[in-house]
Amino acid sequence: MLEKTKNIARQILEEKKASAVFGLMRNEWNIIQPHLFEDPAGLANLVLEPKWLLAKLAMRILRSSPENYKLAVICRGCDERALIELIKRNQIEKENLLTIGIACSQEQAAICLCDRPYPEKLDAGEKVSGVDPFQDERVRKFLIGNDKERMKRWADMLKRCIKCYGCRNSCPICICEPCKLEDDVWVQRGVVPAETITFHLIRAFHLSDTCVACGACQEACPVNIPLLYLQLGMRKTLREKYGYEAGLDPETKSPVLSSAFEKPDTDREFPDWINSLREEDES
Amino acid sequence: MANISVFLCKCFGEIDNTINFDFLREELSKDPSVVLISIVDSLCLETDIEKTVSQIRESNSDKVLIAACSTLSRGNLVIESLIKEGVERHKIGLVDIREGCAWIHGDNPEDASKKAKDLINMGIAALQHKDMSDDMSVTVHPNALIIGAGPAGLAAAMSLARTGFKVNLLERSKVPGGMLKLISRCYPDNDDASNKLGPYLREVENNPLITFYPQSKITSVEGDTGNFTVHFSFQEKDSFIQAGVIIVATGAKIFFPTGLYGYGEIKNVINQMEFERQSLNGSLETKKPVFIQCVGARNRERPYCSTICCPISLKNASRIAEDIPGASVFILHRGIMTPGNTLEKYYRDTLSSGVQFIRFEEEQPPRIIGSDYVEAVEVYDAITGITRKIETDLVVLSTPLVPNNDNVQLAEMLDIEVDRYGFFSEIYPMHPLETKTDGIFICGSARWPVSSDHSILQGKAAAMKAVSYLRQSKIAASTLSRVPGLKSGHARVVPESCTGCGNCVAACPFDACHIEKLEGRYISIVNMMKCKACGSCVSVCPNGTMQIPEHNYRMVGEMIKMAF
Amino acid sequence: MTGFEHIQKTGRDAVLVVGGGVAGITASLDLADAGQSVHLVESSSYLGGQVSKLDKLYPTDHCAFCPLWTDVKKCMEHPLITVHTLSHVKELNKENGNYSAVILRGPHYIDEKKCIFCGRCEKECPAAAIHPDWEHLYPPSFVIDETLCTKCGNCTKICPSGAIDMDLKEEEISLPVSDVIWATGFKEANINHLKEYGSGTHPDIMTSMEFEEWTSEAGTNRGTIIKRSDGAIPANIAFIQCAGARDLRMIPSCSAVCCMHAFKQAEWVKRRDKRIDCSIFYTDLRTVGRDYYRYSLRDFEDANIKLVRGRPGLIHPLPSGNGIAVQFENTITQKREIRKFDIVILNGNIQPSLIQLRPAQPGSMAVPRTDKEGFVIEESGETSDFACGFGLEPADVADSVIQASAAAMRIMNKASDQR
Repeated sequence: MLEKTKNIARQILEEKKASAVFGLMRNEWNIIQPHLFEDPAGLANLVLEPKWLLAKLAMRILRSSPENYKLAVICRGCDERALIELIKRNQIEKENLLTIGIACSQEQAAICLCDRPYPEKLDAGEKVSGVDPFQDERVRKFLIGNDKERMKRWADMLKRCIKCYGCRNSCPICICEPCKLEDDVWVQRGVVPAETITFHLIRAFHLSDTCVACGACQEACPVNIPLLYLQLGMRKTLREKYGYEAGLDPETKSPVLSSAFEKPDTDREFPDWINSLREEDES
Repeated sequence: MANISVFLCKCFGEIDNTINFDFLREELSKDPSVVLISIVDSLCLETDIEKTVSQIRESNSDKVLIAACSTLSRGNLVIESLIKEGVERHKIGLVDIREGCAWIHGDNPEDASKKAKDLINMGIAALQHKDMSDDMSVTVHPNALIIGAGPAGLAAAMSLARTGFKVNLLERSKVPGGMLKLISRCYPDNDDASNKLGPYLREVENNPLITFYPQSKITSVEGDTGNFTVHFSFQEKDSFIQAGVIIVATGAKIFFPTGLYGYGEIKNVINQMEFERQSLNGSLETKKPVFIQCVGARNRERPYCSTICCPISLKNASRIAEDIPGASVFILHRGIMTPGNTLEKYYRDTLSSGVQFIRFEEEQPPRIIGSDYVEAVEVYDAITGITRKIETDLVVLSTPLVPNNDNVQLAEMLDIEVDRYGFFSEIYPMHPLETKTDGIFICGSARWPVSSDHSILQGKAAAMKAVSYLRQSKIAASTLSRVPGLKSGHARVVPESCTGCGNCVAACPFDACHIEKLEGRYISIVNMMKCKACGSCVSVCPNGTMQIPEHNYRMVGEMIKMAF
Repeated sequence: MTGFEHIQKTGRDAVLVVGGGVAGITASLDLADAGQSVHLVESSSYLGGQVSKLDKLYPTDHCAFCPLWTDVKKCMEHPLITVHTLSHVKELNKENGNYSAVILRGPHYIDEKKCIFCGRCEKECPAAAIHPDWEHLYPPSFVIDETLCTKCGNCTKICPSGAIDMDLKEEEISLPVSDVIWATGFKEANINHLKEYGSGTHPDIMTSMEFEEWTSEAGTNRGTIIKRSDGAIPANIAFIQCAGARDLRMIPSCSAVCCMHAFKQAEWVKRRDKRIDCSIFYTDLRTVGRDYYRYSLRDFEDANIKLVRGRPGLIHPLPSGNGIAVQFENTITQKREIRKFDIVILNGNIQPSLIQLRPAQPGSMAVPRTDKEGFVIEESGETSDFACGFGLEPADVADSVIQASAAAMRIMNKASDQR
């Protein structure tokens, strides 16, 4: 997979299809860092591990570059989805972006609890099936019980938060300046733990239909709050009730944004999958 | 922090028999922004409003908070009387401590008083942070543009021209009259179609206020309520008209049921339009016609009833039964749609004229017997349970009206909606001719299949709605609301913090937002003429850039802090 | 000079709109927005008519009241509209081409401008003669039922705002009018004499408007569906269409709105309580408007509402008192059956109000020319009498409102031609 990626990147640079290739490099001190490969010779140092989301950095690079600057990003599944979501939100111009899609291994998918460990445009590597996060014991543990029990469980977890803003900073979708989480009206500065669970619920809802389940938030959290699980439920409901998944297609808009004149869903019951979970675990 | 006068109404004991006003006065005195507290027996009936306003001015207050009954009962009377005395609307706040507090917590006066205190504090917080929306006005072009010169468009044109407005009447074909020109006789009065059209055609010719543009085609539309610019091609030239209102009267088209009941293959299977044409040119020859209803309608493909096909069959069937001696006329139907008094009587009269009716079910449609010419029709009579074979020399298929092919395109140009079948749709059944863009109206079969009489009626009704816009010289965006006085401003963008994500554009039901690139950044721009302050954009804006000033998030946040 | 500039300059006489339902309100607003002054006369104490009594509207399933309320409010606050509630038109005279009207204003014993809606009068009244006429009045006000009032004076004493004056008499208001729009709407007809429907023989045999109030979210039971006889939840409900209508004995016309009304009521029964079975007994299902057919299909397919083509030959309470027997022939299967229903709703017996408003004495009420069924006959050619809504022909909300605007336009054109 590495060789193939290098070849594709080299071809892109030689044919001037992009001004640079954005990927990971092992530098002279043996440390991995994101790097803009502008010279094909430099591709000798290209590496594909570890999982490192480049979407947000790519957006910033493109923003600070001249209008005709084209960037080719080496991306895994979640990275590509994040890039597509940024395109949807007018943060990246589609014409200025190329992707070199690489697949993740089954082991990586198991670590990330990812059910789509490959980009839609796959250029190197073999697709693997991934895992269903809802079969994982850790996830199920967080989702069983009635609303009161679940709320208490999460409130207890979120008490550990030290407001480091790591989750917000590492999330590829959180790009708003200013960010609501720094607004005194909703979240007081310098107060820990975050008031009730406002901080995290604000973030969860703002990302509800945009989250690409990359897990960066969870990886960044210094106190091990399983922030990814907070988003998984909403993704599943969106998929099952509306057939929508974030990051698959730049043309498909989230159902949350559909016009008021479409017939609303009048069903006020719990999403079916929660009921099925409940029944199984209570047996 | 603004200075606030607080007026508490006892409502003749209705409020102060539960809520402790001394407690309220005490609590309010602690708030440094409250410069005047006044307790009265009844704000709406026994208070001199002039005196109240001088009190407000003398205490150096910037804003006024009233704690009384709900706006929906008498509260708004107080607000309106203050406004009449010169207090600005956005500086007045009203808190309901009667319907929502005293009247429902009569059994718990202590908690009710605390709740009233909280409500009043929330009202003060809201007033402190309430902002005022911008507004804009457009000059209204005092002329109307009517698209389509069928009976609906003609009726609208005549009505508006007679009222004294200039009318531009655009028509796709060479002559006005629409589908009515193709019809020989109208129902239910059996009037000649040319008699019905006559007065309108004469008006178009003679009234100097009506300009008729035959063979014209709209290419694009710009602008807003009161100030539309419609570009169209006419006589191979590109023209444009500026109009205050647009009336869409483009009608519908006839469905040709190729493949159904042998239409297109068997010679004497025709549809109603061909029947009309043959009646008009005298080539109609039949003694035993069979009319089949709901051909291509009320099925999976077109799950609607086209309203007019049953009365049309009644009209044509009874004409044959009455005019031709020895005629045998059948109507095969799935339920005769003649609602109302006139049409029901038409049905009874048709029954009396000797026309025979057979009901069939959707699952068992009639069968045509014959290969080049139809000889008979076989039908399972659902009422008697008997399969009957009817000899016939002409099968007339009643087909629905279907929307014009370019409805969707025209709707996009005008920023109005089409329904699931493709007809133009109104904003709400109680306002059946108004669309989501103020100043654009729909009428006639463009809206939904109707008879010529009803088309004419709808044309007149649409003209009436148009008059209320055309008579104004200027329209302010703040007046474009269903509920006068209650429209709370327009959405507003803070350009510095907008990320240009486009959520507002997608969420707005009125297409009031669009994204523009300004100085290298994408920013959302709100069109105040279209914005109805529904708040959809505010709820999907990720970082609070989009706000409605009268209900901004800071205000809501402060209110919540007061409540808890 | 345009038509309304002429109107404003010459101060054209007011248009009299008779009937404050959705059609009357629309016509009044249209005229007033064009500069024509209007006097709106309504016999009850509130504006809104029959539509304000509905729970939901078909086919959108929106609430009926709130959107109507905004137009009622506009009407009451419009500077060019004078609203007369508890009133009727006593006389209409045409002399020398001048039209004049005498409006008889029934005494507003409780002044709605002063009523603070506290309800103390209702509590003090020994005869239960005081209550608001409807849930959503604008302006909210209590009303005294003269027929029950014992003139004890308790209410007058207790009213804190001095809004009650029992000495008020009827008032006659004479004014010149230019035109009249009859928007008198419909009322339910008594079909007790049509014995097969069983009307009046059992508390659970109701008319559709009674059922609407009985199950309305704002009604007596706040949306719960229970039997009127014993308060239990019904197992099934029968909707009998064309009860009294399309019937040469009584109402030869089709009432146009009842088929969709039944579908709407059945849909909401199902939404509120899935357990209740609904059957609609019909002759023809008239579903001509936008989305009407689809609405009826949806009910039939999704909500499992049974459709039976047949007009029941006999509806009779069961001897035990528990339940009602409905005997019918399903004309499609040609089978005759008797089935027990817990609630039977008679739908279709609505007639133009004018047919019920036969003046008690000649000269006590002005009425237009009507046909045998009570629908207004509009003169052709030059006329000053117009009609709209159910008073003109059976019409749903959309058609009534369209007719009202068209009538207003015809008046505007008449005014323009007069200059």
